Amino acid sequence: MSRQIGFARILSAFFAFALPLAAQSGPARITGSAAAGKVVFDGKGACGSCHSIGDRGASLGPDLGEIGLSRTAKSLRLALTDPDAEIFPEYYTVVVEPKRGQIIRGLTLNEDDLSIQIRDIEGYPRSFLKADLKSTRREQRSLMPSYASKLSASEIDDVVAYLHTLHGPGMATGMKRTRQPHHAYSDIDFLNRIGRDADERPDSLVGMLEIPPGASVAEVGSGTGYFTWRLAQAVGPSGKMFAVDVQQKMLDLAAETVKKHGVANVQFVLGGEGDPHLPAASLDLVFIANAYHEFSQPEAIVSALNRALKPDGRLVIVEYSEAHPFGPQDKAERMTINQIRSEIEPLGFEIERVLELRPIQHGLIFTKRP
Amino acid sequence: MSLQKWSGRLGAVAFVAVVGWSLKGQAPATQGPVTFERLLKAAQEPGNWLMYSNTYNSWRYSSLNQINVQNAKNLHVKWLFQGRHIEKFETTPLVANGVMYLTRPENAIYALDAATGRQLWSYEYRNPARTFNCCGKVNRGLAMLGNTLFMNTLDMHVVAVDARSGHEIWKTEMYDYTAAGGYAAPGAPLIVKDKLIVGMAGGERGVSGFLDAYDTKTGQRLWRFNTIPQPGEANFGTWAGDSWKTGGVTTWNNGSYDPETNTIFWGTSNPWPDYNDDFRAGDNLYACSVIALDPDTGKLKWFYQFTPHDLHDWDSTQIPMLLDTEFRGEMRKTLAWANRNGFYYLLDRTNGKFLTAKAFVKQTWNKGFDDNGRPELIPGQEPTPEGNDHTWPGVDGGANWMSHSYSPLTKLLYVFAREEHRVFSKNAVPHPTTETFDRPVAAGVLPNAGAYDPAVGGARTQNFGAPEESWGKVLGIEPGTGNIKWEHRVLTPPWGGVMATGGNLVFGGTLEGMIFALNSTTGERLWTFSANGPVFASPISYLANGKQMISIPAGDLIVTFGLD
Repeated sequence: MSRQIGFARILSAFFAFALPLAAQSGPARITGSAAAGKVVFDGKGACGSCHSIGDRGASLGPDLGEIGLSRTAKSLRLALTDPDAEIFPEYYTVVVEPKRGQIIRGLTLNEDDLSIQIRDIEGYPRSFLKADLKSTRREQRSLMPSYASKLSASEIDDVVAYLHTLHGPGMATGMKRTRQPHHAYSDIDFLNRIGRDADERPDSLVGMLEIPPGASVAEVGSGTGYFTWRLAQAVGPSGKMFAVDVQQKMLDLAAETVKKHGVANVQFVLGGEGDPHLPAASLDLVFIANAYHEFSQPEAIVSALNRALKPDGRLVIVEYSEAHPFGPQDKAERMTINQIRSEIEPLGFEIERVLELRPIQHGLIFTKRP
Repeated sequence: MSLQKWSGRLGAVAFVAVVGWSLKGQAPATQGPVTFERLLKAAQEPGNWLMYSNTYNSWRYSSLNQINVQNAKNLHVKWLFQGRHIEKFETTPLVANGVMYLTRPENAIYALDAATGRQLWSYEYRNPARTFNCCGKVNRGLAMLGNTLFMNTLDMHVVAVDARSGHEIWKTEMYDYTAAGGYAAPGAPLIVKDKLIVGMAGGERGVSGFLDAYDTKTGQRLWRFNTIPQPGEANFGTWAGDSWKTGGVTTWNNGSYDPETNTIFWGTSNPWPDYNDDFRAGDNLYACSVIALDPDTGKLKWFYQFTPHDLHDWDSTQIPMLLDTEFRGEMRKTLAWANRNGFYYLLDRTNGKFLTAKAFVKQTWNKGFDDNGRPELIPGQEPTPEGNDHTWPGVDGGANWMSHSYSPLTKLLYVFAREEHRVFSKNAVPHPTTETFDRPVAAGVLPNAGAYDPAVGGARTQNFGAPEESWGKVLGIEPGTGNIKWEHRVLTPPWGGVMATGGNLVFGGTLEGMIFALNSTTGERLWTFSANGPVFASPISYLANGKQMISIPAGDLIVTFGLD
C-alpha cells in the first residue's frame, strides 16, 4: 500500500467515519482450490492487470499481497461479484470530463481547487487543470468489473480460496526482536481518559471477535478492566473469564470496574513476568490489548499462552498502529503488523486475520499452528 | 530555559545597516520604538503590521493598494522563510521598522529583514519535553511595545525579548502548567497602554480559565480575571455542584480594544468536559462568551454568552471585530462576530446587547433567538454514546480561531467559513472534582483536524469522500444584517484566515496550500499560488522599501509575495 493511499485511508476513516466493517465479520468458508484459483487469477481473470501481489503486477487497484488477512471469504466473494458493495472512498471512481476530448475514468491521487491528479485505468498518473474541465465527479462505485458473469461459480470459489492464502511474506522463520520492552504501564488517568471509547471503539472490537457464550477467555494485561467487563459479558454466565495482570493495583481497579458493570464471572489472576499463571489447554481465546509491547519476557508469556489455549484456540493482540499520525507519541507504545507477526508466529502461531481498528489501532488474530 | 542565538554572519552592524536600508522611502513617523500612541494609530502606518490583527478594532485590514484587482495577477514570490520544523506555522508575523518578527514552533522568535527574509537574529525558548497543548505545539504570534517583543509559551510563561538583539529581558510564570489536566498558552498577547493582556488554553483538560494583565516593564502581574465566577462574585452558581472548579473556559486566542470606551473584548472557550454534561448542569458562565473588561482593573463591564451550556466544543474564541455599522436604519457601535456555532452575531459593543444573528453555514441546533439573544434549542443534537453524526456544524465549527477581516472600502465582513458535520460522541467521564482524574487527555493521542503530518506535507486534500459532506467558503457578509453578499467555495473546510486590502482584494489560503486573492467586491478569484503546504494562519501586508508585500504561512514556510 502506498504511503499516500495509507494516509488517505486514515483521513477518510477519521473524517468520514463510515467504514465497511461488516466485511470483517462472518465466518470464513473456503470451498475452492487455491491452486486452481491462482491459475484463474493469472490467466482468465487477468487480475494482475490492475492489482499487484507484493512487488508483482499493476498499481491501479489495491495491492492484494495481504488481502487474505484483512478480508473474510465472504467479503472476498462479494468484492469479486459486486465490487461496488464495499468500497473505501479512495477507490471511488473519479470521472473527469474535459471541455474537449474524451471522458477519463480513474482513481483520485490528489486534488485541490485548481487541479486534480488521477491514475487512469491503464495505471498512468495524469493531472488536469480544472479550468480545462467541464466537470469532475466521484461515483460511489469501483472501477473493477464484476466477475459474476465472467467466471463460473466454481472459478470464483477457487479465486476466493487463492486470495485467502495471501498473507504476505511468512514470518514463521523468526526475526530478531529489536524493540525494547516497555515498562509496565501505570498511567491510570490515561487508561481512564475521555475519548478512549472514540479511540478504541471497544464494543465493536469485542463484537468482531464473535466470542460464543460459554467460552473460556483470558485477558492478559487487563489494566483497569476496560475490556475485561465487556469480554466477561460476551462469554456470559456460563463462560469463564480470567483477568491477568502483573500489578495487583491494576487487578484491584479492574475488580472495581467489573463490579460497577454488574459482571460476576471474572477470576483475577496475578501473573508473573514470564508466566501468566493460566491453566493448560483450557482457553478458547486470549486477548491482549495495548499491553503486549510492555511484556518484559514476551517469548515466555506467549509460549505459556500457547500451552494454555485449546487446540483451536485464538490469540488476539491489539496495539496502536505505528503508521497512524494520531497515535501515542512514544514509538515504544506502537507496533507494526509485521513486528507483531514476527514475534508471535515463531512461537507456534499462525496469522488468521488482521482487524483494522480505526481510527488508531490494529488487531491481529492468531491460531495455534497444528 | 532560554537560549539567545545570534545568526553567524549578521551581527549588530549588519542589522543596523539592513534596517536603515530597508526604511528608505517610509514616513518618519513609522520609525523608532513602537509606542502605545503608534498602536492606537496603527491604521495610519499601513507599511507596518504592529499587532496580531493590525489594528485594535481587529479588522485585519491593510489599506495598502499598490497590489489591486488590476495587477494581482502579476504577484509572485519574493522570498521564503523555511521553518525547518515538523510543526505547522500558525503565527501572524509583526512588521516594524523594516523588520519582520515571527514565532516559529514551539516558542522561537525570528527577526528577519522584511524585504529579503534574511535572518537578523533568533531567540529560542525551551519548553519541557511534555507540554499540554491540545492541538499541536503551536504559537500564534507576538505583541510589541517600545523595543520589546512579548510571547506566551506552552509551559505557561510570558517572556519579554529585546526586539533589537533577541535578548531576554524578563520571564514570568503565569500558572503551573502541570496543574489540573495541564495548562498552555499558545495565543498572541495584546498590548493595552502599558499592560500586556495574555490568555491561556486547556479547555479539554479540566483547567480553570482566566485572562491576565502584566506590567510590560517588569513582568509583574497586575490583574487576573477569572472566566468562571468564583464564590462571592457575580454570576457564581451557573455550574452544578463543584463543576465550576474544573470548568475550562479558557482565553486561547487574541482580543480587541476600544480606546473610545476603554474596553477590552475577549472570547472564551468551551466548558469542560466538552461533550458530557452529566456533572455541569446550568448555563456554565462565562463559557462560549465574549467578555468586555476594563483594561485598567480587569473588572467585567458586560458579557454575552453565544452558546449557553455548550455540548459541542463550540469555543467563542474568534477575534472580536469592532465596527460601526448601520443597523435597522441607525448607525451603531457594534461587535461583529461569526461564531464557531455557525451563527453570525451583531452586538452593541457599548453594553453587550444582542442586536441580530443569522446562520452563515448549515446549522441544525437552533430554532431562533429571544430578545436577549438566547438561542432556542432544537432537541436531539446532543452527543451520544453511539455518536451523533447529524449535527451541523461539526466540532471544528462554522468558524474557528482563524481571523476574519472587515474592509471599510466595501463595508463587508469576510469570513473563511467551514461547512461540515462530524461525529459528536459522549464518553463516560469520572466526576470532575471528586474522582482522580488529573490527565484527562494524553499528549499526542487526541485526534484533531489540526494535526499536520510532515511526511506528506499535509497538502493532500482531506476531501476524498463525499464533497457534499464538507467544504469551505469565503463569505462577504453585510455586517448590519448578516446577509451574505457573495460566496467563494473551496474544496475543503479551511484552517486559515483572511485579510482584506485597500486594493479591493481578499487574501487567504486553503488546506491544500492554494494561496489566493479574491476581488473583495465580487468574490471573483483573481490570482492563486500553489504552496502545497496547508495554510493554518492568516495573511498580513506591509511595505518593504516602499513596495507592498503579502506574507502568509503555508506548511512550515512563510511565503512573501510582491509585484516587482
